[in-house]
Amino acid sequence: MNKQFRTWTYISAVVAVSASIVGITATIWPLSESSTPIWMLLMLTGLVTLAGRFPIQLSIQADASLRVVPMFMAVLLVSPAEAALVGAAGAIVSEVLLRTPVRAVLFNSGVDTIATGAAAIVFISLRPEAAALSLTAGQMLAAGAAALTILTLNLVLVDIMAIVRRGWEFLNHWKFNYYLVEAPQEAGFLTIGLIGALLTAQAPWAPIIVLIPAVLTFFGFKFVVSEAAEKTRLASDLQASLNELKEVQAHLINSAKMASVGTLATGIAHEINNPVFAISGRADLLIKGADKHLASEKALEYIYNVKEMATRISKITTHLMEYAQPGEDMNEIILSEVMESAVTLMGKNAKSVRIIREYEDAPIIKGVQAQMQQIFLNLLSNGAEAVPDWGSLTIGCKVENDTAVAYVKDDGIGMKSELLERIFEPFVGSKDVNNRVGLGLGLYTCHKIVTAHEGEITIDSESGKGTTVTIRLPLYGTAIVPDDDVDADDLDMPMAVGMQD
Amino acid sequence: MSQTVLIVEDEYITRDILTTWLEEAGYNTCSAANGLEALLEAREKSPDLVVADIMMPQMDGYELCKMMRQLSSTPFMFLTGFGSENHKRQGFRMGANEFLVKPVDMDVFLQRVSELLSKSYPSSPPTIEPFRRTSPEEAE
Repeated sequence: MNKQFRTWTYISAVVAVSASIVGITATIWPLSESSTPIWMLLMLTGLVTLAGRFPIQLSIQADASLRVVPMFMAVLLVSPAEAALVGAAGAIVSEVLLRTPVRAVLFNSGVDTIATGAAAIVFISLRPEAAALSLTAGQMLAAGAAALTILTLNLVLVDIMAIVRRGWEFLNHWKFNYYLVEAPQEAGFLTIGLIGALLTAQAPWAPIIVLIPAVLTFFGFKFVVSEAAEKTRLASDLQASLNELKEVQAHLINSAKMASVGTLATGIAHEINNPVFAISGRADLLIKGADKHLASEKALEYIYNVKEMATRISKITTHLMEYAQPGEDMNEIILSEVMESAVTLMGKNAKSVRIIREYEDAPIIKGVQAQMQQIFLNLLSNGAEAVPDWGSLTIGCKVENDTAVAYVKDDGIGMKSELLERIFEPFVGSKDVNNRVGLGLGLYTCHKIVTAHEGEITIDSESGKGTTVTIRLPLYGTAIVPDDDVDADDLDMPMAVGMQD
Repeated sequence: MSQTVLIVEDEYITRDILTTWLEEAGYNTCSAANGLEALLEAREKSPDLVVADIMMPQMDGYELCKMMRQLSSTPFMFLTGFGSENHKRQGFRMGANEFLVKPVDMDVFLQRVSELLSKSYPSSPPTIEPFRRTSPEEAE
């Protein structure tokens, strides 16, 4: 049985039941014997229409049926058949004014007719005497029972519609909170209806005096409620967008890293291909000219070369592994060493750049190795982009008071001040020089990492004069570096030079 | 008289390997550690073939190739660690006749050297397109 069919069957049932209620009540309490003035019926129908036309939504879950106010007034003031007709007429007119689909007009008017008619039957049957509405205990009990009937029928009939349209799974979504909001809300409206009916019973004009401030309050309240609802909706939309943005950002940072890995791959392949060639070239000589070369004094030198080249490759792959499979552990890191590993990884990238090293101290910091490497890789590749071929990049680190200071300095094209102000924002970059457009995430990523390491990153730059990026991180000590590590050959040595004569 | 190959390579070991390979195969060699040195060496020795790396200090292989092409039609071979299509395309655009990527087998290298030396090349500076642009329809 499809949804459409189920829905229409249910609507037809509701309409049929509502028609029968009107018929039965009209038979038991004939309309012709009614003493209700016509203005009263018109007023009640008008009020149901108005309340239906301008509903109020107090919470996202609960659609407040404001029209139960005049409907309950009708229950208490007129005969059951009249009350059912008031409910039906008011619902039809308001739904038509709201331009709801035909099935909603039929269903809502059916629900209103059943709820009003049934409640009126309950009230008339229970009230002690057939006199006008008064504040006796018996009358109030009967009114309470009628109110409960409206409330229950409204909730039950609407919930059954939800089950018909969405299936039994709807019950799984049944939330007690939903009824906690909806039931008291409707009970409040029923109380207003009771007061309205009591006032009307005392003097027909009395409700008008109450109605004027009530209408004003209603629109004021409705405005506040709809504004609050709008704000809630905006806030949740904003939160959703924010979450989405965070995901995109994380993805982009990862892409930026992958892109820099891609750029690095070329440089690394070159760095590895050279020693591999040296190894295989030496081996070729030893294998293919075995008679001559193995016996010569050169053989040992060749084997040493092979060993040396293998060490060079393993150094590159070690650094690469550290970069590509990052741990998240914070370890003690010697700043100059991590900077050096970034230099190795960068290898003979895009072009030749002279690296001038100024490692005054060997500060120890606490950080994630791969992230630290990424910072210096980003800074080195930015610097290499900024300088001309065989330009120079100066990298160095030192201890200043209780801070580890690292810097990467280039004498390249520099940055304009307006760019400098926004340089740590994502997608801001100056790499459109040399027809290379970066993602503009390099410095943003650096800034994020440095901040996460409780450090700070600053940039001094002047257009045409070059750029210095300085990073300050909390100091955890100073390493003692063996003298032979600071080899004179290492200083001021172009990184493109591997083995020189 | 045996032919002369100019080896242009900044890494000593690579230069030494190429020199040994070529000399043992019966060629004369001369060498340079960068493009600038290579230009001077080429003017002095008039080599029959140039084998050059790309990434070198002072003057890289591309620049060298371009300048060599303006001076002579000496066959030019790149032997480099850069193996991407972009690098190859750029190499041929500069006028190279061959592009080998390290690591290369000794026999393969010597084979290509001998092929390059046995061909004759036009004396005008060629701009060799690495890829045939002729479509199958046009070819018919």
